[in-house]
Amino acid sequence: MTTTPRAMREMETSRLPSGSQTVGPFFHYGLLENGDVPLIRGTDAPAGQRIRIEGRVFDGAGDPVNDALLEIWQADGFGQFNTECAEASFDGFGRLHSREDGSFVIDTVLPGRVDGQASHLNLHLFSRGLLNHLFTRIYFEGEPGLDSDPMLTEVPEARRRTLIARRDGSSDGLDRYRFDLHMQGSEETVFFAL
Amino acid sequence: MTIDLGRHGIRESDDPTIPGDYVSPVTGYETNSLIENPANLHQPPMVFDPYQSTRLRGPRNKLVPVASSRTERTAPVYGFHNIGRMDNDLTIQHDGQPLGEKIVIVGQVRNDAGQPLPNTLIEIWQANASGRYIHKKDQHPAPLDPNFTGAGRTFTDENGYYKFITIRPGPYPWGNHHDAWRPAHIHFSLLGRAFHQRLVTQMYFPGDQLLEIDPIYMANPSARARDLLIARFDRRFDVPGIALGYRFDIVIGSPRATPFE
Repeated sequence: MTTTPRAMREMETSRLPSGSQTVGPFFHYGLLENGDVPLIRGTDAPAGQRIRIEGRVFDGAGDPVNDALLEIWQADGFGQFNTECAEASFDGFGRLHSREDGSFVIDTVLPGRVDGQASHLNLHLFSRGLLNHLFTRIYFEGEPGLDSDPMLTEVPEARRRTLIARRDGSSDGLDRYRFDLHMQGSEETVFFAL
Repeated sequence: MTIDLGRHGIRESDDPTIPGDYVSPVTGYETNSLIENPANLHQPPMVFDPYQSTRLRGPRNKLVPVASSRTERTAPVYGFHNIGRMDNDLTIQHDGQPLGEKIVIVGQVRNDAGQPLPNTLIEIWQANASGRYIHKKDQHPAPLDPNFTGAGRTFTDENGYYKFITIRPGPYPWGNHHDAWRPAHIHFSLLGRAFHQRLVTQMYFPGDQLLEIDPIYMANPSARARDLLIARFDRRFDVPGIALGYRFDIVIGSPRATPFE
């Protein structure tokens, strides 16, 4: 097919944001070449309270989503973002896929508060059937600042709990939390638009 | 790394707007650009009934609009990929040559103000020339190619340009509806220098008869936005006698809301 000068110019000068398309079911070997990208790598021991968040991803029928991709971005235990040194022991980025039963495990440190916000992880959710990826946050039950957090307070009160990981005990210095993602349904997780 | 843009160079233009009614330079179809102007009409909906997987997976509640904080305006330096110099050439990852038509894809990554985005991680993955993914869950009974994996990655250079060498993937049947076929496509993933600069999309090929009947491609209501997912056949980027060139530029949008703080 001939490419006209106009078609070429449009490609080279467009300022229209590129259209999103689904990640599809086969992203694993493209985005997780060496497996999941954990937040805590190898024997690294970044400063801060170690936490484990366990959860599952569900669709609108309540069935587990076994082909979701989760990307995490968070501050370190001091509330600082590592944007300069990729070799440091904690860069705040993680990538993981859901298992056959829809489950995932996030091992990390409790992020410090950033500019007065409550402690939170940023989460991008991708999957087959999502034409646009979804942006949400994970907050933590019992942590200070939940009532005044600028993003959480934008959410209707009845739905805020969908964003708050539930405390689930401690063991071996690890604080445990539960957090499920519901893509639809009465418990649908709150997703944000920037 | 600086990408060789070929003997003709790249034309500069400061006029990105296309006034009046929009006639697709690819398909020839007309669309009134005025009714397409709102930005959210240039992205697909969360639920698009013809694409069946969206029915139970696209959220039904409206997204909650928020202003960005420092968490959204920062992003890591990507230390998790130890990117080799040749990771952008998918045709040399095995001992032999892959089957299929070798192609070169060159493009520029910009923001919606037209500024190039350097040092942006681009990851791609695709089916082989027969339309088969190496993924263990791909049940399409087309042959695997022992000389083709179908995954590559690179960073944009200081002017926002990237380059991949690969083979043209084949179309393949899928289970969405009776005799459904996906048009040939390559998955693209981009991580910018802010959390909100995140894009996952698919690149398509000009002249593909399957595009107009593909519910994933057609889910975007904007003919212009759909067009821009189709690479332009661009022989400036040929490797003469070896590979045909395509141009595929990518624009990453900015958040609409004003930051708080």
